[in-house]
Amino acid sequence: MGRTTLRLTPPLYHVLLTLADGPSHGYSLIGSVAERTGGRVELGPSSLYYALGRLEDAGLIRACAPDSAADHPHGEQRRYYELTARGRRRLREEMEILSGIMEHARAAGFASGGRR
Amino acid sequence: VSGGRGSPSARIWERVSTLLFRLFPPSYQKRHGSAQQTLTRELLASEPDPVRRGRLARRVAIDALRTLPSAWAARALPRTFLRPRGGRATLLRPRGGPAHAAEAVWKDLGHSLRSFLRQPAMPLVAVASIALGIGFNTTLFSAVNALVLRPTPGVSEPERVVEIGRTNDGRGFDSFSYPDMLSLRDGVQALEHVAAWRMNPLSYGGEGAGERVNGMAVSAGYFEALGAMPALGRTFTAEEEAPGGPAVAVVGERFWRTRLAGDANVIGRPILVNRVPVTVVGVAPAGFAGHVPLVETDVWLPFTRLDIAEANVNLRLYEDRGIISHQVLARLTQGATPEQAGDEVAAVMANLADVYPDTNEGRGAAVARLGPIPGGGAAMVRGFLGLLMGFVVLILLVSAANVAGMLLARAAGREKEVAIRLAIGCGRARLVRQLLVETLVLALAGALAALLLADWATSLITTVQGAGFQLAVDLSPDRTVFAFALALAALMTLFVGIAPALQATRPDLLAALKTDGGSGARGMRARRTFVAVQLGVSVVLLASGGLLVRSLAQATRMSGGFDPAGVQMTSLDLSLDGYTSDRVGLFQEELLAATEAHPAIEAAALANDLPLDLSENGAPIWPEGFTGDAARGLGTDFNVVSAGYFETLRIPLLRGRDFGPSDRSGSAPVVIVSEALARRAWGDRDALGRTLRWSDTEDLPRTVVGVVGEVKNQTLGESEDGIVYLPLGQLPTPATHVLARGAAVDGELLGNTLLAVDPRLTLSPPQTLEAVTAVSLLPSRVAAGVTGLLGALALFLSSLGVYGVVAHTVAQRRREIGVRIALGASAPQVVRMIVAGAFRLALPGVIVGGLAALGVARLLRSLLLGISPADPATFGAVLAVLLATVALASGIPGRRASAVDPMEALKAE
Repeated sequence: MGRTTLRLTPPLYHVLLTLADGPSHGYSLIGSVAERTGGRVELGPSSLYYALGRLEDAGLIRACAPDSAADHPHGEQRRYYELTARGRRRLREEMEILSGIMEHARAAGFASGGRR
Repeated sequence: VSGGRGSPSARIWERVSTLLFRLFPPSYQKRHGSAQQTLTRELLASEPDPVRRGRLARRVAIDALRTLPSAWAARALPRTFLRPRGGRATLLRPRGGPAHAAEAVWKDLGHSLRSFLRQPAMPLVAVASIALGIGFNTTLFSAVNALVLRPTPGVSEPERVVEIGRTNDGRGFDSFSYPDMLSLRDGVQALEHVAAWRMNPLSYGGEGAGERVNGMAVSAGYFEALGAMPALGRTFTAEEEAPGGPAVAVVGERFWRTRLAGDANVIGRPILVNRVPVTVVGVAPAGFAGHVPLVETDVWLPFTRLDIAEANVNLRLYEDRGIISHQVLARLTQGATPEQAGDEVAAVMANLADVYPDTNEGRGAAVARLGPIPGGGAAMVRGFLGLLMGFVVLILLVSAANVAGMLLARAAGREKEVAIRLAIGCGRARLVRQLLVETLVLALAGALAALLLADWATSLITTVQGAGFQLAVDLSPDRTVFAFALALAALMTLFVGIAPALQATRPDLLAALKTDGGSGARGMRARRTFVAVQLGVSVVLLASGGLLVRSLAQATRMSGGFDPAGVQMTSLDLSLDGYTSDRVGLFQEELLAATEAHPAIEAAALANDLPLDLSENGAPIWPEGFTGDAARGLGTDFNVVSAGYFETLRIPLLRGRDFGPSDRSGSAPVVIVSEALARRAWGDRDALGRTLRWSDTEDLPRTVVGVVGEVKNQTLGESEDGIVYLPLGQLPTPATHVLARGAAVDGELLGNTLLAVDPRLTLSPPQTLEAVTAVSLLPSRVAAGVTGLLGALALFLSSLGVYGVVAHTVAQRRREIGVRIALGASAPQVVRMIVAGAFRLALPGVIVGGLAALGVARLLRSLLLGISPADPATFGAVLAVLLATVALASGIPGRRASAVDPMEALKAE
């Protein structure tokens, strides 16, 4: 399962990035991704779980127990996910590539320092 | 979750999401199902504003729709295609081959969507028409799927569960006697857990009026045979299976949750069933509604305690092979086939016939797999659903013809565009494909709407409470139903799309380019044919619906020869209340007198059996001068009734007299017969004063003192073989029904009146006679409702068809009409001409449809009560309605034509 490499689409990037902050579940992932992208990437329940499924298959994330004594009423139904070591490594690699691209872009005058 | 329920739009979109989610690959559903649903609920619950929640719900549905193809692709495509080994993946996009074709179709899809969105009127009507056509089919198919195709819910390894029916000279699938069932249990190796079952309505709890619940008396091994082991407690043990064993019960899971508050310590707790304390020993597993899921079982009692379940049960049934009392199901032993079991069962039955010729001569048994509807019912339901399926296929035909007509009209309008594209070298195949894709878009949109419709309609059916029983079967569409709807959409695309597509892409190039678009004489001919088909099918549906509705009205008014409206009934068994047989007769007289004396009660009676209650009471008689087989006598139904029975049920007394107080033990034995019986026994000769012997145990023959009208005893469809009525005063049986007629009589009044005579009486929960007999009317009611609705729909769709064709003709004949008006034709003359044209268009369809309807009506005969299949009133009305519709649908464009300004029409060219 782990040997193939998953092509990362924007939703997948953002899910990975959000999970880099720590384990999270569906409801908060949707909120965080929307907040992080200013509403530009909007995940619904279907696309989110599709994305989570693909990331899990690629070995980048895994389901985990709710963090530190989940005090949520939905605790038993909510499913939490966290980055695997592989996922963390992959995210770092991707970000290096992206920042390389950003440097080129900036050098060519296509991007300013601040936002994308 | 959900605080306040959302706005209607939120609910609709939620439903769309749920439906769409069921279309995801099963593996996906299994993996993400519960989490994704929880998330959806959380999301929607987090939005307090109803309008915003509606929008959110729509986005959730669109999200599901967008993800759907990827979810399937991820499953269907080889993993290496999407995720090549090594290097950073890029999605390869190969040229040519199936993928290329798929992409081209995808483009066509987009193209058609855009073109439909530009002019949404016609596509909307087409989608609505398809949605109705496929929707009816899908709804009915959901029912067929749930009732006939799907295995019974909660039964493990359903393929190993069989039912065993007794045959008579090799025919039928009847109930068993208890001793015969025990013989099968001991003597058949291929079966394990042979169990008896019998449905019994029960009353639950209460010092006052009990609550009616669905009960079933089952022998030990019932739950084991079905592989439905209790969630709590245990099933019935073999020790409990002795007549007069302990009063115990297993309760249904829903019953446990709703009536017993889901009490985890319920085992050992007593509940009141038919006012008898019964100890709960088990709770059935969730999702198991009994093996007859249509009527969810609430309480199971041991078969050996039928005395609790039924007040008037004959307890000799546990020893007497002659008394048939229950049905039988069993589990095949591992590896055994139904055929093996059948052979062994046949051997056991043959042996029994040798040993007990009196009771078992000619009696065999058949083994069949258990479906959701057991026994002889399955064949009946299958036939009935088959009939309805035939009707809904007709409506599909109408909707297909309707859409085909619209597509032809659209194609005619595009002749020029198509001609140009052909002229500049666009392949015909490509054009045909594009046009077919357009139809496919319509059909798929229609199918999706149809699924919504079916989902809604089936939830409606399930929530409607049947007469006296609750439908407890999940009818909602599952994957089989989805596949069915999609298959219909595909079929529809081919049938509906191919003709217009070929038509449109074969224009006479020059002619099409010269005129300014859309003469289409060939298209017109096809459209006229489609309209004729629609009208023909409409006649069939309207006539069938009309016949069924009329017969239902007839049946409801006079349910099989008696009038159940305004009659309350309850049942009692005096032997349970301590009345010895010598006191029964006197007390019944007292009871009847007290009931009749109540000012609100117009008429009252006691009776052993009720008409149309699906139960039978058969016995042989030997009429005076009988020439048939003396050993067998004349088989007939009988009923033991008090004076006033005929008056209470409004059964006409044709000749002679009713029973009276003088007909008591010791007086001359008398009998009343129904008309048909009198005819069977004595032909055209007067029955009054003749005699018949009722039972070989009676010394004296009985004299006929009255002849009454015919009554349907079990079902409305039965043939009328006649009934013999015996006076209760001469044959005082302790178990009777009490009937009371009166506009102000309700169950409580009847109960109180009876309890005032003796407060210790055990009464069954009172109910209206209509409720008791409604069950037998259910098939007619459903059939009438469905066909009536379909007929109206077909009429509406064909009126659209007529309108379309006539409007088109009028537009084309503008010049000619202008000339006529210029030459002095008056407006009414023009309208008359157009309407006459429409009648010529309609006539062939109406005639063929009328003939077909006569044929279909013959098939309906068993559902038609009291009217002939060729009922002139119905056919006349259908014809009138249809012609009026045609006149209306053509009158509107006709009026428009009459308003044509001749100058303008002539100049326009």
